[in-house]
Amino acid sequence: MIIKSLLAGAVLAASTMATADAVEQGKAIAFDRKKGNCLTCHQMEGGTLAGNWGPPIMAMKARYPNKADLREQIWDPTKRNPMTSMPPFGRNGILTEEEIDLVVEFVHSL
Amino acid sequence: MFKGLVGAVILGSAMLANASQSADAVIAAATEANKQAKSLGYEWNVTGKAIKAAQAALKAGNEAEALKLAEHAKYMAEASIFQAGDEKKNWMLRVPK
Amino acid sequence: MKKLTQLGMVFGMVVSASALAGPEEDRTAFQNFYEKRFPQVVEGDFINGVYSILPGAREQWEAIEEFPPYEVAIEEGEELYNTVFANGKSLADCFDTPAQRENYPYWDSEKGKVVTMEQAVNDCRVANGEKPYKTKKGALAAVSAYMSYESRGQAINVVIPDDPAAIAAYNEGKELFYTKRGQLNFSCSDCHMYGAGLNARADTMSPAFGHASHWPVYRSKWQAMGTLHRRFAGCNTNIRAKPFKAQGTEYSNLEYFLTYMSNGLEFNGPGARK
Ligand code: HEC
Ligand code: HEC
Repeated sequence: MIIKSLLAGAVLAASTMATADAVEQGKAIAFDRKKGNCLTCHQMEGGTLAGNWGPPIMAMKARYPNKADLREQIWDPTKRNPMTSMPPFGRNGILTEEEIDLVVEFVHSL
Repeated sequence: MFKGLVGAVILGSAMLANASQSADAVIAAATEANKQAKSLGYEWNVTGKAIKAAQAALKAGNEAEALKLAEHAKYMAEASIFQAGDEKKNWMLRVPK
Repeated sequence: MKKLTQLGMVFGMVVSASALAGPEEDRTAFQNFYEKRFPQVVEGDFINGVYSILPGAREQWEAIEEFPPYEVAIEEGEELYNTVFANGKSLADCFDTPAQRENYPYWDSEKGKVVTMEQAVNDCRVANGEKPYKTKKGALAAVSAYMSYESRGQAINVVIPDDPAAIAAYNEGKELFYTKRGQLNFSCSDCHMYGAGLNARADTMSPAFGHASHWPVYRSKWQAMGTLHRRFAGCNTNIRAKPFKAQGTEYSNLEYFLTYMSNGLEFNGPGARK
């Protein structure tokens, strides 16, 4: 019993560590001018010299209780709004699927 | 057991065939798709570069890297063709009334 | 059967022509869009680009305009304009006056294409046995700077004749302005219409109303003069689209549309920009 919960604790710690790591990696991709370059348009915590083309990105867990919806917004925002200026990062292959997963982790943490 | 083995062999050889034919074939497919994008007036400046990089990797004997680059180039060429079609539907939305 | 197809084609053309608003309606809606978005801009001031909406940056720009960085190009252009070709003629023999801006771009029904002022300069050279100038910078930008300077104050008054081929060229330019292209998926209108006045990082995006008034431009980023088509190519490259050829059909049609949208403003080239 004790061993079991100890084990579970270790697994849990490992997975939060993995998530924290994913958030950091996602942030690097989001801020990289050659990758996500999200700061061109969005204020995001931890980023500087942001533009004001899109809304500030905050309270994302409340805006997107379902992470898949957030991923969809980043993968192809023109599906929801063909008029949007936000680039379809997945549809146009600007970021890889793995990179998008990491960016979603970061954005969801904001 | 026997059936499983046969299946695995078939799968394995299919993968092999895929891998040996691929980089070259995928580069050709990417080039073809990019030509189509160009004829539509929708060529991206990143696609040709990716095709060139794939060719260079292939020449250097790096098949795996060449395949990866070629697949990305092909994806982009196809996405630019999709964009051309999508925009035929959508551009009028942006004209102010 | 043949008759039927022709009928179908005519019918199809009528339908699609009515689905597309005419140039005049387009222009009214276009200009209204900017006048509503920027009510503070006084009439005619959109020719000053982003400085028409940025009072802070405007002062700095006006200081630059006191010692214009394009002055050298004007002088160089004047010299080239009067330089004698091998056959004894010069550019000056092709034009009755260097003040030509108000006549361009126009639909040339014989050639079946839009002719820009820069194209007319190159056509003149070729007709006299000279090689055409390169189309983005250098000599052509200098000649264009001189001619534009001489044309300052002329009214932008592009005419779209009632000719299906001319209207088709206009519509192609219009479509190019409003379609998203490149890997980053932007239309000109995303930035210069719906994004005008907003900041991409620290860059405020200018209204497209007035975009065609002040070319060529001395750009500090280029450290040189560049033609309007050089700018088009730059904006297309930034969104990871393969740019079209300067003075090719696509950009000439785009210039035709864009200049027509600014009818009623004044030509004030050459210009200076960041
Ligand atoms: C060219 C400007 C631009 C860039 C670059 C951009 N966005 Fe956006 N984004 C917008 C705009 C504008 C909106 C507003 C929604 C719309 O237009 O439909 C938006 C909306 C969003 C939303 C929805 C916000 C909400 O409250 O629902 C998210 C999330 C988002 N962007 C994330 C990102 C991420 C992550 C990146 C970088 C990988 C990024 N954006 C890059 C312009 C941009
Ligand atoms: C991603 C945004 C973006 C897109 C898309 C874009 N531009 Fe630009 N453009 C800019 C920025 C930023 C500048 C420099 C600041 C300014 O003057 O707007 C600029 C400058 C210009 C200028 C010079 C303005 C002046 O006053 O001298 C012209 C003309 C222009 N763009 C035309 C176009 C055309 C035509 C297209 C479509 C083919 C286009 N742009 C697409 C961002 C964009």
